[in-house]
Amino acid sequence: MSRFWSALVRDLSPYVPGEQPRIAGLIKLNTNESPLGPSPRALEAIRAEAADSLRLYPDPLATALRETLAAYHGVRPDQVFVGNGSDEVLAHAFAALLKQDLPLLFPDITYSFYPVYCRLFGIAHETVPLDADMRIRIADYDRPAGAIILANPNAPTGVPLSRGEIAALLERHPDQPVVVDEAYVDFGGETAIPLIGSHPNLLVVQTMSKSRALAGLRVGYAIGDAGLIEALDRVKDSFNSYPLGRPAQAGAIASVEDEAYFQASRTAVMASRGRLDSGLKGLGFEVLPSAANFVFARHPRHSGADLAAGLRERAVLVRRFSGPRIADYLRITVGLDEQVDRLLAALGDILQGGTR
Amino acid sequence: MTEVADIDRPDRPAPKPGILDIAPYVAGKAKAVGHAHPLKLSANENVLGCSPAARAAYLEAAAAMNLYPDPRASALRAALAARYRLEPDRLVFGCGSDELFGLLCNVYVEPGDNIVQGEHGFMAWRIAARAAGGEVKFAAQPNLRLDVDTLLAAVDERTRIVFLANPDNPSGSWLPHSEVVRLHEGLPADVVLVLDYAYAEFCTDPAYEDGLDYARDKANVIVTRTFSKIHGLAGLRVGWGYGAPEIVFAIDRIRPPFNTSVPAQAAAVAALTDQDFVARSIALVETWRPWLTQQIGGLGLEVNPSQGNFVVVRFPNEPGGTALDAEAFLAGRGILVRDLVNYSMGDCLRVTVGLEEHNRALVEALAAFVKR
Repeated sequence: MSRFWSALVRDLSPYVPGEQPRIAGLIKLNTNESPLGPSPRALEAIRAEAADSLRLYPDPLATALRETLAAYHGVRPDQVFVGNGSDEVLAHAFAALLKQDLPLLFPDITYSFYPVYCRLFGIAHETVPLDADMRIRIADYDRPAGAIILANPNAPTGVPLSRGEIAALLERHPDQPVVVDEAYVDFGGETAIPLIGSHPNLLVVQTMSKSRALAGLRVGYAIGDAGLIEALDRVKDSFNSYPLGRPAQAGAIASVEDEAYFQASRTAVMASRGRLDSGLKGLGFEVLPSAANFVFARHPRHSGADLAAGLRERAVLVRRFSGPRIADYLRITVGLDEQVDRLLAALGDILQGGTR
Repeated sequence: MTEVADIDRPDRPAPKPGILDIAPYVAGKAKAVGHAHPLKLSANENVLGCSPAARAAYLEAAAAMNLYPDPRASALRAALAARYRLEPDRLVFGCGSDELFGLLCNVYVEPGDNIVQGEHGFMAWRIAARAAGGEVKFAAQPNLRLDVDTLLAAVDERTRIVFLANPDNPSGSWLPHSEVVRLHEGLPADVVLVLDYAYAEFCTDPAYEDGLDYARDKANVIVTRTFSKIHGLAGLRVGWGYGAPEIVFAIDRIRPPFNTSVPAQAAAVAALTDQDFVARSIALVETWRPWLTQQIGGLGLEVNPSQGNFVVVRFPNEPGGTALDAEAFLAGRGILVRDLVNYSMGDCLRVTVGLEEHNRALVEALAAFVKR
């Protein structure tokens, strides 16, 4: 703390990322990273940058990447924004679009960055509780709102909304910016991108960190009406002219161009999720229906803290969150089948030993 | 970006007031019509490339691309702390030092506040300050020089940050350390002094210091540096700051945790181990900067004294002979340089010091331009 800080910064409590320890033999199922790795073509493109390009500044607009994403998603390049990870894209969306006269709405249980950004940008917000089944109910958002942000599938629950439900939300709030954060959509969710043409208030945010396994590269993007994208560009240009390095732009383009690898890897993750889901249920866990690369599960007779501690002793990391409704849940990243099996074996061992 | 005519339509969400009034940053040109591989002397990139060690580390890091970067950049933090003998906890990292300027303005500047900078100073500062709702007070730079007295005179009770680049970009001017001390000592204790030392390695004036020692025991100073220039890693986006714990901790509160990538962190660590590459980069500039200054001066053009890896050439204001005419002439020969219209230096061009053949090609082209 310092006398120089603005009141705003003084009151901020920053986002806490999942821990990244270096433990030998560790199975890391706590940060929703891909176990499969990125497309070999993406890696090749990244490596090619080393030839003579690292010294050069990147294209500040990332024009080629925007064009590639536009063609892939069937939109125009001026409907695409790219940033240094979807966290930065979201930050720009908060700054440019979500501060309105009426409060911003988002679920009480969702990505923990949202309240951090509200504090940072001085945005009044209200949270809307998930229903008893931990689902987002669109009807619950029928209240005065300046803007809405939802994660779909939601984090950390993994529970998805259908495109029809998103469309219904947009019909009910035609005058408010609606941001749909689709970080996990490629694992079985339905993207809202086809709705941008008919809904100029819709901004869809996606990332290359999860389904494209490029978390280390930092590439996120947003798709929406050109007016919304222009606002994001203004904020970006006022904050950092060169947010995406050369490897990020080259690797992202190559990843998008490798559709076969993308489909194969997301299909594999969904198959492993089925194995994890049924294995957990076999051990007596309640598992929320997930359309993400993780599951959110709790055991009726064991606390989340005990289970997470027991797993850590067995060199398996999962993520826990504090909060009255979710403290007993574990968020478990879908790993390779052998990682899933080791997690299930470790949990079985813990459950047999009783509570600690 | 394409112009969007309907951005202010009442049926569309409107950006916050002020956002659309900000003129975006204009980058150095990267293309010349008719030249597939132009000679790019417009962005002060390192013409020697980067360290082979950095390249090797970069290639190796590709194997871990599915994992999030270390949000504390611990390995890079330790390497920098060792290299410059700094306290690791007082370092902060940005996606280029540009991001640190944006974060600093978001931390300190509220509507009604202002920042102070030289009239020809770096555009990223003023843009970031305005985006945070602040105003920008410009201090005169007579003859492109940095002037402590005009900077101090511009400071008022709403000033939160004073930005000083030393050496200055794009003017190339610099201050001896004693003048930086005078600036700091003249500032109120609640004003943050940002010392943007992106070009520090290229400064050969014995009266110059890199500011790191000075910042060590000051409560209101942060020094920023970059891997884009001396280390030749502009494509990877890594900048760093060293300053008072209170400043660094405040930036970390709002810094996106994963703002530097896995390959960027790895390459930066390796770059620090290759002091031979650093020495060669410095030697190149030390050799050719005076040569360019002398040769271009010999053509009858004025060259502003520079301590960066670039020179600044002033052109007369006569039809056909202006800086913009020269820029176009050079581009026609496949040589890209930086016009400085956005820096109130429209009569000047900034040229990166290149390899020997680059420099000779530039002087030859300028000679042809002058003799037309």
